[in-house]
Amino acid sequence: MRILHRASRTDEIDQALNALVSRRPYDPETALVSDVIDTHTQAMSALRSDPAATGPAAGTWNRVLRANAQPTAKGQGTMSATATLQSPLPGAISAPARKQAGGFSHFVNIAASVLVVAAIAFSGWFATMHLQPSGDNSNGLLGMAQGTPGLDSATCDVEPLSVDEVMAIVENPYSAFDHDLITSRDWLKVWEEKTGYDLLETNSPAIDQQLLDGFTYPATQPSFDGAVDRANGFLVCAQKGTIGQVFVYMDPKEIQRIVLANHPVYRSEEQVRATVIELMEMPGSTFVFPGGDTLHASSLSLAVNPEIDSALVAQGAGVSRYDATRVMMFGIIATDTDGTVVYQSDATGVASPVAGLERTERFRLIIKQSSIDGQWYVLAILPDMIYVI
Amino acid sequence: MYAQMPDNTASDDELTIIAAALRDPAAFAPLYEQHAPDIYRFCYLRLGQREAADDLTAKTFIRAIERLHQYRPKSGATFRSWLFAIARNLLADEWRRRRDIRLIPPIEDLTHDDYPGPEQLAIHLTEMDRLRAALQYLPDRQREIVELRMVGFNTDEIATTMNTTIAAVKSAQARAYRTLREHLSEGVEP
Repeated sequence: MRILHRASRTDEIDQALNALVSRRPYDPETALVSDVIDTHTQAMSALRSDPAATGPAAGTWNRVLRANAQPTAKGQGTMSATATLQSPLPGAISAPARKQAGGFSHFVNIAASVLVVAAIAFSGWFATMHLQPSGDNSNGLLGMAQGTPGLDSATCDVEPLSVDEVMAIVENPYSAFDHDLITSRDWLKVWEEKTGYDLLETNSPAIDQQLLDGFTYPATQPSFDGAVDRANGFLVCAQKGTIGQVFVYMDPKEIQRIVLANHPVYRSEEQVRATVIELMEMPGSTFVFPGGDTLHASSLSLAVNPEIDSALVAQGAGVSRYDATRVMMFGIIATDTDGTVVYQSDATGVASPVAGLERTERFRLIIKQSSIDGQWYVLAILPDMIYVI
Repeated sequence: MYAQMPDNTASDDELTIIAAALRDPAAFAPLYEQHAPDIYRFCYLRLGQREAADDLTAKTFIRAIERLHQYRPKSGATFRSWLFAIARNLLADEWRRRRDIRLIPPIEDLTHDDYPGPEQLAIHLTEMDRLRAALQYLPDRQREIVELRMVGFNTDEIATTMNTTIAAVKSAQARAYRTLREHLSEGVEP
């Protein structure tokens, strides 16, 4: 009887609440139900009294439409925009390995050990140096960078950097930057006086927790589309291109860091050049997604998460340390050949599980907008792991 | 005496709009106008910030339109329960995100043109603050049920949205409202 009585009161409470939400009158039989009605009414009164609870901002619908107008937002566009991942490369690693004298496994391992994969970019110095005053920049680096494969392209057809261009970046990625750290150094003697790690310590900090802590929410619209296009161009070349093509999209400081990280001890310019020559022809995926077994497991197309709300922007020091007007972080979306999204992460690293696999990676792409030329350059992809039960 | 349950299936109008929106997202506008205020309030109740609730609302509809082709009208499930299931998932993601991310202070909340003066605002916020404080005493599932009730959900819709049984909803909501009453009455002068 007691159970029946309790059940009937539960039912009556439920019926009273259903009447309330349907704005129909209800005559409570018990004080208990009256209390529930009073409580609900009081809660609704509090909610209605708050002007901020009225409804979404006027521009919210436009944001929805704008987001859905982007081809990458619907899978099909993403599919056509990105290339299919290659099989795992022999050089792709899941954990740092011991240093070896020369050789690319060492190179790859160091890059992975600091969790900074993509370094690349074309500094303003390079862009400025190669641009023609007349505006004919078809052969310049900036022109090359702007001619990136867009969302409709499934191939990486950007002209790769030359060995000489990479060597120039390694020697001094900041020639055009009016910065004491740069101007106070005699960069021409870099091969004679500086080891790779010396330079890394003073000039090219890796993506670290300090930067990650500086990211906040949400991103803002200015230049967002440009960042998405550049990031997707980077991903296409990471999947189908060479390191020389991937470098087109990367921050020069990161290029320098990657190259010099292969030389923890003194090396001659000739030795570094030999390394760069070999490096440039390596598949772009070598440095992107080290240990990325999950996304390499099947044929997938990748693009950054195009939802601006899922992107983050860096604040304060996180921006200034990269000579950028803005630093943003994106999640990544992977779609299969049917256009179905099988993996999705947002900038905070929240990632959807990938069916059938024990773990997935919280891939995040970090990109900066140069304070010199306004172009977006990829800093890194962070493939930190999560484990899915 | 007993309230009649409303019709829970997607209406013909909704299905027509959905069919049109599959071809053109702009055609979704009537459904946005119909459901956005409730989605927003649901997010606002949980997040407590206008800007964040706005973002989640936009995100909910962006995702809904993206996945509109996956929507299948089911008996006992309304279109808005499908929408709220999306919002609920996004809120869960946002909650996880907030463990790591510092949010921008909702300055907009203090400067919005539609707002009343500071004194009136203080009164409003006090009332709303009391509700939020009381809601925080509820376990997550109970709190969600109350929040869904507050945006007009009936029992079937709540059960569908939360992927649970009607009996479980009834039982949890009875406990929820009892707890809520206790804490809402705290600090209130007789």
